[in-house]
Amino acid sequence: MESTTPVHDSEEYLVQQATKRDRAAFTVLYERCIDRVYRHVYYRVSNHDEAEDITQEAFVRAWKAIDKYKRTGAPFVSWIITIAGNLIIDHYRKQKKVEFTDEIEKISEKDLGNQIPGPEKQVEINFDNAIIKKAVLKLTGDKQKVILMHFIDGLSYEEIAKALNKSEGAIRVIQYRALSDLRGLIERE
Amino acid sequence: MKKEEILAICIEEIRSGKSAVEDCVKRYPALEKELRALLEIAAALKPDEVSPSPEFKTRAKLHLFDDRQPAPMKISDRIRGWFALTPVKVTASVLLGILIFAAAGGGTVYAAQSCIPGQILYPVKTRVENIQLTLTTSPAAKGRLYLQLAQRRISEMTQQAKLNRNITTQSVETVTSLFDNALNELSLAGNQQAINNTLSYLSVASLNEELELKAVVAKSSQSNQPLLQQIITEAGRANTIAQVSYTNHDLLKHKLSITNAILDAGQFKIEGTLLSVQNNIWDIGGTNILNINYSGTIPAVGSQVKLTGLVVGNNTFISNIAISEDTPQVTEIEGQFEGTNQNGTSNISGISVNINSGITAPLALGDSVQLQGNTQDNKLNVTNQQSSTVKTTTITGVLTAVNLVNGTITVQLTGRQVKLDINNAQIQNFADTTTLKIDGLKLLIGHEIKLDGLSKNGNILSATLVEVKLVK
Repeated sequence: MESTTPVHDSEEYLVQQATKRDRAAFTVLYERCIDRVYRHVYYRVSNHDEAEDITQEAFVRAWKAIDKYKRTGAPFVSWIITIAGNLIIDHYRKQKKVEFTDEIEKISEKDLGNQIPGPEKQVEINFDNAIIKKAVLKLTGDKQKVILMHFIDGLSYEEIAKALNKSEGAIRVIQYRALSDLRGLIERE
Repeated sequence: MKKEEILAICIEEIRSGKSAVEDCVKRYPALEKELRALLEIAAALKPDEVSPSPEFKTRAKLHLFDDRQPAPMKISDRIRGWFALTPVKVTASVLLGILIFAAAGGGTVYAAQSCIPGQILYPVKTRVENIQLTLTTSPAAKGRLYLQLAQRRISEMTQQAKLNRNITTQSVETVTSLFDNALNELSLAGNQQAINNTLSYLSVASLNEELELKAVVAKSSQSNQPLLQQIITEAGRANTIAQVSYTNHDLLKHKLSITNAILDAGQFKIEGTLLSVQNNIWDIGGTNILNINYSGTIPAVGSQVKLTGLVVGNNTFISNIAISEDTPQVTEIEGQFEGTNQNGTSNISGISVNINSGITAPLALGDSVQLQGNTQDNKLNVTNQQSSTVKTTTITGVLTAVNLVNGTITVQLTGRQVKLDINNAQIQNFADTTTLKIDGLKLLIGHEIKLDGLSKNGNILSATLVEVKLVK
């Protein structure tokens, strides 16, 4: 049966209600978080179909486990992103290696079609973003988490610290080490 | 203060727009090298510009409270995560990944944030480009890729000039090679439509590049100015090749380099009555144009025509023929004065013009000249002479739209629509310099239009002089 509890604005209240199996409250949380969760997942899988499937599954699992949710002071979205992150890891563990395709040549040929934007609006390949993304995905443990949370999910040091149960100072140290690792990975690329 | 604290402060300042990388680096000179590298990486770390579709959001919301066992994820087999590929395929995977991001809309406009020579990502970027070149086999696709790379190098030079960093001769040579390689690939391509699409791209891209560089050259350092000027000249020549080759692919077979000055000297325009056409020799108002390469329909003898083209060696390549609706008036020739031939005729862009009288000031070698006159016994009696050593950026195309609200017009140039701001332009008739109003242009849609004094501010092209004439 649907709850008739009026939905309050604050995340704290909504989460409190959701943990009591309030579907309306969880739906509002879903609407607030969906874009950020999707962007996080897309960053890691680079494919819209996969990003949609994993994002949807993350919310379904979050609802199933909502009564186990414990407030840490970090935003609710970071909990959903953690669930999505675990799904991504599971997904790639199961995935078999695939063969390289002739996608590159096809794209180059397609590029010559009539729909080429004018140079003034020319959409170009963003090499920087792609190279860095590849390196970020090679980072492990907290280093990857901190980089993703800060730069991709837009969390503050304080929010990251709460989510990872560490001090803000420790988060800044991890960030420094992660960026140094990224530098090494890029230089070796 | 500890390094990680300094780094965190700088990152927040850069992300909030309070400081640039260089500002932070200057504050901590002892950490300069390391800090710059880490901040450049941090600045490039950003989410893809994607959002879930409204359809997906609605669908996912409907299934939020599904009680069933979660269905196995329907992951597409079409494209896999590139980072899961085997190590031997890592290099190809980087490129594939990049291309997938771009194809999926994950790419962003190649703008100021892209790395420039001297930055940590730059060597990686050029290595990836080389792989992309190796993997592109079709000549037309490769030609276009070379042009995109030339565009990137020019964009980098513009950024370097703005940051007051030194541009190297090697960078200029790279741009020259990229343009020449592109044109060479196009000369080998067989797909006519693909060649035209690429030439059309080159035509507008080179015009943009020329104007962008002109906007920064005056403000750049003395050492950078001649190098930027060289690229401006070469971009102009690339534009000439694009425009002439667009209607005349045979020009590509001459494999002209953009370092070849014939591309400046050989450009001509001639207007007059087409008196005869015989064995590829056209007589226009008494001046013979030799060895004409033109695959389109030849206008009827007796019509008033305006030819635009390029003379290369003994060949004349026509890029455009316009037929005037005006009654025949004068013969007009425009080009570069190349001296006097042995038979006493004047050489204007490789065309022999027999001038009888009316020259008011001696023509100087290399001058851009415009002569108008009446022809008698195949000799030109000049009634109006203009010459200049300065060549401004000019385009001629077909007027396709006029926006009275914004003060913009759209001109078709080698198959592309180019929008220009003419709010501050003088609009006048070609022949009698009568000043017109912008609303008068509406009646001239479909006719040839010439725009002079072109410049570029951001993404907006503007002109200071618009000349129109009833020429279809």
